[in-house]
Amino acid sequence: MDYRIDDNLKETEIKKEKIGWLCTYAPEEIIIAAGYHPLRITGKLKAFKSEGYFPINFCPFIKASMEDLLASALKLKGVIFTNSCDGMRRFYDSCRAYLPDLPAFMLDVPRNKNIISIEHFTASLKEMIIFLEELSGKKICSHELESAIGICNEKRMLLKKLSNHFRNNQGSIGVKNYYKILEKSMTDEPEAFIKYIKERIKELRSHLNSASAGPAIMVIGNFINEERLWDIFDEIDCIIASEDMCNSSRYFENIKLSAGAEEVLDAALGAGKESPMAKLLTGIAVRQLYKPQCMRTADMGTKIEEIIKSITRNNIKGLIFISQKFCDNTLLLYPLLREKLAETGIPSLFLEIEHNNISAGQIKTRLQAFLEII
Amino acid sequence: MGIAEKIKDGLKTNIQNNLNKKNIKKILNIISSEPLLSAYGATFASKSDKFLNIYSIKSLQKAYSSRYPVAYGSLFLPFELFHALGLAPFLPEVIGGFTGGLGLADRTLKEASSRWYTPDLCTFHRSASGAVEMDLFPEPDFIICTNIACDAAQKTFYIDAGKFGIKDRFYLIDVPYKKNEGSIKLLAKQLENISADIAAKMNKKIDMEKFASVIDYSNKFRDWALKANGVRKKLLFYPKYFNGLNFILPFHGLAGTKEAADLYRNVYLELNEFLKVQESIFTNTGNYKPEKMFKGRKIPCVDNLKKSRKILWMHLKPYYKNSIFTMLEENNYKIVFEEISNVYWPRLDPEKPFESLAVKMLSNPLNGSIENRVNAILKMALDYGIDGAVLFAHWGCRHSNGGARILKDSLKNIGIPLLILDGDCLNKNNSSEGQISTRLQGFIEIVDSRIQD
Ligand code: SF4
Ligand code: SF4
Repeated sequence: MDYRIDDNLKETEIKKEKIGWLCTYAPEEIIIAAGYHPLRITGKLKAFKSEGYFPINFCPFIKASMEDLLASALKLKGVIFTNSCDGMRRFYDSCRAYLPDLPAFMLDVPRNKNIISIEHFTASLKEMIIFLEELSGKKICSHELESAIGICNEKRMLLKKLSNHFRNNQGSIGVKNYYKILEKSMTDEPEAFIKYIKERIKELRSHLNSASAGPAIMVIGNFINEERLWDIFDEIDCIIASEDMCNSSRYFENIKLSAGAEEVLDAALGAGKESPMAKLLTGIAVRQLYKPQCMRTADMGTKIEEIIKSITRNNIKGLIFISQKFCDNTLLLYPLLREKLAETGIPSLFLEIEHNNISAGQIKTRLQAFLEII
Repeated sequence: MGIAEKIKDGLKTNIQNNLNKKNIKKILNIISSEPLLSAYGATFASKSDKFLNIYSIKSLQKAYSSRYPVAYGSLFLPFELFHALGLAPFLPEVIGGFTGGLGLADRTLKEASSRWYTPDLCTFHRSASGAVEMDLFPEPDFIICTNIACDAAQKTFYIDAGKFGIKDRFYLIDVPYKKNEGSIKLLAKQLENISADIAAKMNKKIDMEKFASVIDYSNKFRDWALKANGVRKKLLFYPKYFNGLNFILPFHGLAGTKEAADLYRNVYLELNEFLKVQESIFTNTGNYKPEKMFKGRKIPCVDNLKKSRKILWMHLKPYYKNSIFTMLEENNYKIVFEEISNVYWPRLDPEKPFESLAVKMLSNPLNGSIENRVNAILKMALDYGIDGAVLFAHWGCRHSNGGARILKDSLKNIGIPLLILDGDCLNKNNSSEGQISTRLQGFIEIVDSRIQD
């Protein structure tokens, strides 16, 4: 039988106090430097009580995440929210209003990419540090932050390796497993995950035996973490040769800054009189703002260029666009993307899903029909 | 039906039957010619309505005239910037709203759907995007938007920039989440850079004197608007067809112009006259002759005025024919204030236009945390002594509806009921008239019973 990476992912015990986070723009390194464990809130629970806090047409991922918070099962010490969308802003407000004992911080992330935005974002990161310092009662020093950056970068590099394996040997990992491992990378303690993933990558190298069949496709979406959906991908013949989601590439790309981003960093650092801490924070700000773009950023054209480049580079035959229902940031990229795709002749399939509530049968039929035409 | 309404209906039918940009431009040119405009103006039941219509038509005509550089702008921008740079502003979301009133929304929304704008998105933007696709809007030279109040504006405006081939003339003003010294500086810098870039693209330099005079007009508009709002704290009956929710275009798009200052001066003067009449009714002095102002409307009596219920209206209203406002009126419910009429910014400093406009943007209660909106609403509730509030929960508006529960609970804490009315401001097919009137009736009963208790 062909090799497949272990699919019995056990949750590891987390010893440190946990700070929840919700968006890849939140830098885990700062949370780690503050002595906490950064835990991505993934909206595990089905929205039930949280329905009462938000309207019907509201991001289902946010509702599920609110349910997680209301249930207190994550036992968080605090939460870092990000000003990523209208929904998140109201989620933060609702958390503060209805869970007053859970300390919450809103990290402001600009939508433009320029020197002013770097300054803006660096100032928000400083506030995040103050929030965490007040919570822990201890100062974060630059050495701690530097070492936390090292840990996060190592994790990102390993995830990048894993994703390369996935692209070339999907059968050895499996679609569902791949996304489960990615989830694990955002919830496990970083050191434990690094150890785990190093072993898996070593194992993979000696088991490159499962060539997958089917056309190369690209998957684009926001936070798409549906086991049942990925199960379907394991059942049908296609290769996810490129992907771009909040819980995949956008989480680990850009360890090394591009030449353009290096220039921005130099300009932002100016005469170089900044303290070591300020330098590190500016570096984080540049890395975050110059990583593969999220759909929320101002310049959708660049996002679309990134997508088109990936399509050409990876010889993609079809694109699957998956959006959480009611996510304006993502939904409003599609009309533009579809138009551009039409110019290149690449067909696309548009799937709107509801976090934790997908209709697997219907999606499978649509996916199969799509694969037949490409 | 009054003459003004007949004319409006005629124009509506004409546009519906011959829907294209050329015809819209032709109609605007005809009705904005001075003699016609003043004749049309004379048909209005009130001064406020007259000036509102005249200045709105003039502003639209300017944008369609091809004689000025046009800039699309999203609603919560400081439009003073546009006027200081000599740009004719065009507000797609607001005009998207007009498509509801003109009976065109079915067509613009259908067009948007065919272009993959899903029905879950806000219809203001969907309709505006549909209109752009149908080539109904004037061609912009610049497109400027901001992240206040919603995600949708930034996206649809960007798409428009691509459609018109002016991506290098697209600007997103990124307003920081919090208002503090640092964010004022950062935002002012953005405003200055954008102004300089726009001016350079028009082969001009920023004219600081023009900026100062625009800021001056903006302050005048602000002063008159504040005075008008001051009158409304006591006013219980209004000029015929007065609806503060109709003033969204001048309140934003004309800020910084003489027209906005004039309009609000006239609104103030007219409302103040009504207040004097109201006082004379209350004191029974008979100093004022209400008959002239009421033109056949029933003159309220003291008892009636005393029994009026005061409502604060939040967010926007449906732009198609609906029975909400008639129902409120019939039950003696007065909308004494609307969230959108709130003057939330301090006086601007002509010497420091960019900082001032940055402060204006950062003072918008819709920016940042909902606490800002809650505080503003609570203040309005107290200032206007309201008995209840209505939030029109427009389908697809995540930023507003997402905070509805917090708003409801915050008002409840001070003993004021809030009715969250689900509907759609543009798409009547997405609003249930029956459900709205049942809920409104229920709300009226609750407010009445609380007051009787
Ligand atoms: S999926 Fe969209 S609406 Fe939901 S949190 Fe992410 S960006 Fe916001
Ligand atoms: S109604 Fe809401 S979503 Fe629509 S344009 Fe206005 S603020 Fe944006």
